[in-house]
Order: sequence, then structure tokens, then C-alpha cells
Amino acid sequence: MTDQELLSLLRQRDPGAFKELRKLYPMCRKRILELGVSEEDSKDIFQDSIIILYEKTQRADFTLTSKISTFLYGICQNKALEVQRKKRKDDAFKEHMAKEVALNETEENESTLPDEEQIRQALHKLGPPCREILGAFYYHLASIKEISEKLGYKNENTARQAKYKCMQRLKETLSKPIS
Amino acid sequence: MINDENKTEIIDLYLEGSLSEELQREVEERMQTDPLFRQEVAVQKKVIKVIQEEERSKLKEEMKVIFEEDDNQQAKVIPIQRSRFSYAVAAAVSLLLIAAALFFVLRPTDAEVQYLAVSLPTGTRGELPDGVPKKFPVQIDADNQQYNFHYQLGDTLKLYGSFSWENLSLVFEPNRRNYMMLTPQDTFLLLPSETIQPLQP
Repeated sequence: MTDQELLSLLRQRDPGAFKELRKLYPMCRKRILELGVSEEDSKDIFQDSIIILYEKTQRADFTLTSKISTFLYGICQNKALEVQRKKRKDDAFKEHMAKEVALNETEENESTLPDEEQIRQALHKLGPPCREILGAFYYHLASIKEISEKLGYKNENTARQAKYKCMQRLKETLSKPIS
Repeated sequence: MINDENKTEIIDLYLEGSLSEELQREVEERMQTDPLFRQEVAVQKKVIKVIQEEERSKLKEEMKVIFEEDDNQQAKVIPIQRSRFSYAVAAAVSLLLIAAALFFVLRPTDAEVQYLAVSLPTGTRGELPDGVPKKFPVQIDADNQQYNFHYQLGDTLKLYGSFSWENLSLVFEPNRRNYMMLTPQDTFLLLPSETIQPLQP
């Protein structure tokens, strides 16, 4: 399988793509362990790296300029370094201080916004069709045309309306107290 | 011009950084003067973040299931330790005929029956169909003068050429009901026949 074929499969979330990428684990694992990450964390970092690669392939402006193995290796390395940085006490402290500063500088007071758990609950209350359309649009970066075709809407306009109504319902749910 | 109908879409584009300069200015001015609108932008931003996190977790779980199914499929392919078999054969033969034992050790590619497990291709789910052998007897004849990259598929798969056991695997294609032989370099279609045929990708 060529890199381009693999990328194409990955964009479609084909199981074959994930199985093929999994073969790169030994190479990434070696580097992750060299950076002082535990064996247990290395699997998690590798899986997160594949997810990051998937997310990049969804972007219209993404172009692979190296071999996939090299690219994935780079993502694994960066992810491992990030994990190690977070574990170090002085960086954790700096991160904490950065968050304090950011809170004071937000354009909107965080205490007036719903928290993440409330949003998750409201999302689950929405039901599968809305969750699917919002997930396809905001995470898998599907266009309205692709959503319309894949989810079986009459046309693009209907799909656009459905997405709008789902988001409106979500916002309305969040503006009420969550039971 | 922002209105109730296009507000959600415009906020999406604003958060992406994809608005025209004019619309971007309009959004930013409105955020400064309209606290409800400012709140709506902040809520939408947070909602999008949670949606992305939820989908990411879901994809990670799907990936784990794919890996588990792959592990279960791989378990069906039983690796044959050729050297152990050879040593076992050489040891057995050496008790009877030392010359023959040396012959086997020095020319390990002579025809010996071994077995390869059959698996389904990547992406296929489930067990092998009924009636399809799950283990296949395979013989390698590396020193045949007449054939050097050929095969014969009957009750046994006979390979003619210098094949390495460690690099062979057999896959059954349910759609075409064919066997495929996989090597690191290529995949070969195997058709049942009483005649010896060349291996072709």
C-alpha cells in the first residue's frame, strides 16, 4: 500500500488504515521510551498520535511532505515530549499560573458559561441524529454536501437547516438549568 | 450583516478565522457592545470544543476495537518454527541414517510437509467459511530443476523455489473464494489445479 493510498483510507476511517499504521508502533515505541515515557503510556501516546494524524488528514490544506512513517514518528515524539513536560513540577506550576492569567483575561467570565460536563449532558440529550451531524461537521470536518450525502438528507439546504437546528437546540438546552 | 438565521454559521467562521475582514470587524464590534452575543460566541466555542473531545474519544475507542479484532485474527495465523521442525526431523533421522540427517541439515529446503494457517484479509470480519481448510499442508521444493517460481494447489500446496517459511502466509478471499499467498514483496493468487502453474501477482 502506498502512502497516498493509506492516507486516503485513513481519511475515510477505514479499519485497514488503522491496522496498517499500527505496524509503525515498534518504531515509535522505541523513540517514546527513549524520551523516558513508561511502556504503558507509550501505547496511549501512539494511539493519540494516530488520532492526531487522522485529524490532520481531514483538513483541506493538509499535504504530506514526507513518508507517513516519518510524519507519524514526529507526532509520537512531540506527544511524548509534551507528556514529559506536563509531568515536570516546574512546568506544571507555570501552566497553572498561565491558566490563572488566562482566566483573568478572558473576554467572557467563565463562571457565566456552562461547564464541560453540562455541555456533555446536553449533547447526549440531543440524540443520535444531531450528535452525528454536529460530530461530522465540527470534528470530522465534513462539508454540508458530504453530510447531506452521507446522512441521507434531501439536499444541502436541508442538511444545513438540520445542523443549525441541532446547534440551536443545544444552546437552548444549555441556557436552561441542567437536571 | 449578522442576523438570527446566519448567526451560528458566522460564529463558526469567526472561530475558524475564515471571515472576510468586513464581517470579522462586524463580529468584533458586536461582541464589544452586545453582552448576549459575546456570551453566545463563548458558548459556541466551548460547545465545539466538547463536541471535538467527545468525537475524539469515540474514534479512539473505535480504533481500540479494530486493534483487538486484528489481534484476534492474528492469533489464527500459527507461526511455524521451521528450525525446530528441521532439528526434530534431523534428530530423528540421525538416529537411523547419519548421512541422511546431514543431507537434511545441509539442504533444508527439500520437500517437507509443513502447515500454514489460513486467515481472512484485513478488514474482513468473522470466521473462515464452512468447508474452507483452516490449516493447509504446504511443501516447498527448492531444488527442482524444472520449476523455480511455480505452484500446484491440490490437497496440498506445493511451492517450487527458494521460499522462506517465516515470510509466507495464506489468506482466503471470501468474495472470490480464492486463496492468496502473501510474501513481503507481493501477493499471489493461487488457483486449484492438478497442473503446476507459475506464481502470478
